[in-house]
Amino acid sequence: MAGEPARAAPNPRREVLRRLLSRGSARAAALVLALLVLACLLAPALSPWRYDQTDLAAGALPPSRAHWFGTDDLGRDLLVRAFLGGRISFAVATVVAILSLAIGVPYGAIAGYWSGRIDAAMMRVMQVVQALPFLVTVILIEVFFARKGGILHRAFSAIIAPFVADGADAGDYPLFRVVLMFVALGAFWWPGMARVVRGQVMELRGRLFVEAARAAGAGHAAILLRHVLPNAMGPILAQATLIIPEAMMAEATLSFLGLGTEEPLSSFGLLIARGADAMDLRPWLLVFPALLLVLAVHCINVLGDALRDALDPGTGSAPAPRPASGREER
Amino acid sequence: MIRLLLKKLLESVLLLLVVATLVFVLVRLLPGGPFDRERAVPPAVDAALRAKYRLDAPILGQYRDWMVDLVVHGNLGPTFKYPNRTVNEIIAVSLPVSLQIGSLALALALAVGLPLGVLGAVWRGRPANAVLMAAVTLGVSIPRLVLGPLLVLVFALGLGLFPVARWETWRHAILPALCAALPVGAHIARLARTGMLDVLGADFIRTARAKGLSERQAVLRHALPVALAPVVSFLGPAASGLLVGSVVVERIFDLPGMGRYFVDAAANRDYNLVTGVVLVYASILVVLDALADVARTLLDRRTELR
Amino acid sequence: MFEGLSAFGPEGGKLVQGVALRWEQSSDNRVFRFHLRPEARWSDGARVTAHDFVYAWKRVLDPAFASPAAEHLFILRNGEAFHRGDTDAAALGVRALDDLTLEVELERPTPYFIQLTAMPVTFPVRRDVVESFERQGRPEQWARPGNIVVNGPYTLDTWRFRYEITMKRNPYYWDHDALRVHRIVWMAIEDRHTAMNLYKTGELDWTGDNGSLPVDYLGLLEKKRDFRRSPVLTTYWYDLNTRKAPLDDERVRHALDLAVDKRTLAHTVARGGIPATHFVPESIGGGYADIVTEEQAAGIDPFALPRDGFDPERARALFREAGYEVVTDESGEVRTSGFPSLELLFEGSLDSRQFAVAVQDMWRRHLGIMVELRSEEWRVMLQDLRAGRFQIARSGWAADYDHPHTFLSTFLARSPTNTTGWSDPEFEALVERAAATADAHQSIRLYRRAEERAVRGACRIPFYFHTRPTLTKPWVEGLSPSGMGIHLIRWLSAEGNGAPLPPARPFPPPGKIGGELP
Repeated sequence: MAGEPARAAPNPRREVLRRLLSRGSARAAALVLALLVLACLLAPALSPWRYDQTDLAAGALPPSRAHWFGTDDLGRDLLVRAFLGGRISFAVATVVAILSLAIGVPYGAIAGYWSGRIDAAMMRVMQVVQALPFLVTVILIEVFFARKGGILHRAFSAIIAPFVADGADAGDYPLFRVVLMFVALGAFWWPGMARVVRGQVMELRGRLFVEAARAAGAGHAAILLRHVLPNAMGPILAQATLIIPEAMMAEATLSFLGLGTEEPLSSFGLLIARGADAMDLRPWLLVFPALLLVLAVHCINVLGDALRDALDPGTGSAPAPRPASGREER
Repeated sequence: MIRLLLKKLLESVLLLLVVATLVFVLVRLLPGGPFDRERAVPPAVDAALRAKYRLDAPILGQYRDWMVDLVVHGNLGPTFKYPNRTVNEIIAVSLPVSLQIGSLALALALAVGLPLGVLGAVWRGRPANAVLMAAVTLGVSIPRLVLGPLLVLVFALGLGLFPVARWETWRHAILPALCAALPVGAHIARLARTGMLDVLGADFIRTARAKGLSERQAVLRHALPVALAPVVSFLGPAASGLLVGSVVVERIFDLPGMGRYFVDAAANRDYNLVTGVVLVYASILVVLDALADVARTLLDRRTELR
Repeated sequence: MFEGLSAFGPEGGKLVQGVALRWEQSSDNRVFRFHLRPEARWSDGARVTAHDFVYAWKRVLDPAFASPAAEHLFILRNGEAFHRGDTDAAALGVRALDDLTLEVELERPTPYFIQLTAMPVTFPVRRDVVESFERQGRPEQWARPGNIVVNGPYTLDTWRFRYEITMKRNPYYWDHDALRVHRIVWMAIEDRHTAMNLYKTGELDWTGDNGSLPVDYLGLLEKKRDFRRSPVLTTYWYDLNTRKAPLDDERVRHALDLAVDKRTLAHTVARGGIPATHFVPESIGGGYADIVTEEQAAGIDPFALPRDGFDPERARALFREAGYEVVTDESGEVRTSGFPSLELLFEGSLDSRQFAVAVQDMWRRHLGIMVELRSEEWRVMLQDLRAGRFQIARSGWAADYDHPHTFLSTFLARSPTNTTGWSDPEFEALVERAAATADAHQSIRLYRRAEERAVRGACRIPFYFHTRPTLTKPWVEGLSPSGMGIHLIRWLSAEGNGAPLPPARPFPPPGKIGGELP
């Protein structure tokens, strides 16, 4: 199938990008996503409201001309907080998805490809990781690694010092905790990806084209990288996009446990959790952050689908009512 | 065959012992003890409590006693938070509730997720697909802590179709099962759809079509079993999670299930209870993974019959 | 289910007769003699005797039984020594003189002892029942439905663990004729919203008692006829670590206190707390509440401050005195330079987060300092508090018994709950004198003076006294609020089931034993 480039494209990467952007829905999704990210980066600076400025007397106000998304029960502008929250949520989602891919794909591929004893052992490790009590582990991470002024924190400060403009000494601690949270989440999320990859590889391993490649004398690595994994891209991308909303909400759970985002910063997950408390009284507290999250997830889904199609030259060129109609070249 | 089964069983038991040992150590590393309260208890009281539950013994001795109790008597020990209850007793009353809700939720998730996934692939490029994909996006993005209150608001308080909470009749099970099932169902739909898309273009399906099978037959008989591979991979942990219960669902619908102990027990430093619920989860996970491997072999056989 | 020597009455939690009809006490507050009512019966018909109390109290203190509440009975003579295993049970300061007379001797004068006789820690227990299950090797079974034997108005009928408890009348209860309700169903509902929904659909007749109501809906619920709010003996405060700079400076601590608008916090963030300028809830018993009313009427309440102590001007002045440069720029923004970084520690819950954010913003606005927020899991935080690894920490206190001593004893240097590092000899002396004073009025005045010292020391910032919002269906009567979360079901009745209750019989004032030691 996609093992060898079907058409002799001069630059496969550019070709994929071209295919990706040739679809209207993908273009729209990319645009919306870009706008969302841009808004998250700029809105807090452009808005007349500070994200941490309370107005207790006013309390929670519905959307108005002054506050487009309304205000929360401490009187803070929801629009600024929502887009500010987007920064952390997008970062969490990206990092967790990348960590899942980086650990889960090779792990699952090796387990699925070799099967037998190696697979059994690797499966057991995965089961242990997934059985570990989340809460206990998270608290332990917090206690052993998140100490202010601890070794890890100092190392972190030293690393980011050149990148922080005003040499913030105390100010980098919340950031440090967020980074630790990324790691904690990644540690728990990769087995999901590994399982999907393992299942795919096991299924593809016996297919004709893999056997053909093997007969042609291809090495294990080549078979895995050039023949098996490219054909598993669909489920891998799907799983990666599915991780995103999960990771965004898990961030909120961690934050309530004291590991993660610290007030007065925020995130989609924290805002949604708060909004859910009074959804019939103050719907705007739920609706706007949830809408942003759903929009982001949907765009990522559409892009993920398009990317999958673009990587699979057989079906990529045009959405056809009968799938697989474009495979004549094989 | 029997030797293989025995070997698998032995491996699983070993795995559970490893998990039990790890958790035994991890919970004891947590700061704060099970008898800490807002009011600091005098050292003498704390010492008496620790002596009562044999927490004052050297750690290796504690481990040995606990392991012997577990392996020989199947006894997970007392809980520290609920005086006069044992972990076995708590699991015995709470697990059945979670299993009932969980299996209903699992059935719902599969019943919704699989058809939607297959249709999504078959309808690829049609407007119906776009609607479907949007629904799936909503399903995976709306967390249970929003979905639960929403279901209560609409179906219980608004339409009066179901009770708002509690665990009494079968009608009490519907909303919690829905709340637990929808995110999983959406996840299944998404995975089934990509799996299906991949397969529909594969050689053996084209062969099947060429042999004159109808599209319907080609999809259901030949493509579906293979397309389910990613769903099967995902299902092990997802189904285990459903079967032991979800804290969020149990809170919202006030169910006396087991899910809440995953949070409570850790927060209370109720060492034996943490180990107990983790072992239940791990056991279910191991069994389901074994089943998934069997299912995969069966599905594979059917593929080979192409 | 059980009844102590005394009981909380239907009005404002005033003590009434329980198993004891009357009592005598020595003038030094150390020896008490209780006379039990001869008609008191257990739910199997056996008589309630003084021996049942002796057994129960010894059991609480028995190191082998390891009760977490043992500390509360350390006040008995040799209580602590017995718990440590240094003396045997015979030396313990509680004896049955005969079946109906219980004599208690205390280690030191304890003004709140009589309040304790209404609390669960002093309830009687049936020795033969407990021991018969212990002999069978199933000690946990004695408290299960069908096995348990109680002496209170209602007895355990069914028990579904962490879900539901039902109670039925105890036919042998001495005041059985005054009970109006046949069955009481307690539902263990963890989620506030769920409880509110169940109340809405009519499945609950009464809610809010221990889980409170969802904060967001309070504004709406307050307008309902079913809504009630009653004071609770709990104070919300922040601990200040007085061992570390900059909080080792009393002026800085005072400034932090003066710069928060407690009235706004209590009303809009805590939704219905009573703003607090001191530490002991004003509705507490032991005579404290009466003195507060008296002083307020006379206009001499030392804790009655304008705007509940909110005074940013003075706060900034104190900052300047402490050597920090505070400037207000032309846009009205306050800036303080040279102030070291401060961190506020709290447990991760939503309520604490909201509160911390509001306080942080007030300090930023009125003092020009940016306090960093940090949340931790609760037991992790507890460890850090006790080890002194904090600067400011969210804390508070809920009364163990209905007497100001429970609050003020947490300021003693030896109290493990005092994490602030503050100690004051004058405060300690005042508390000691107050505890040893037999005259309640006199004693409370001394406690008030001690509290003034504590407020001056400013090792904690009191924010508000808790209140408890409840919803009660109109047909439910006789549910009196208790400041300590104790359910007063004895006085419960529902509309139309039986004649109105006869008035409760108050506990008569104590007789005198004249200070003799037995």
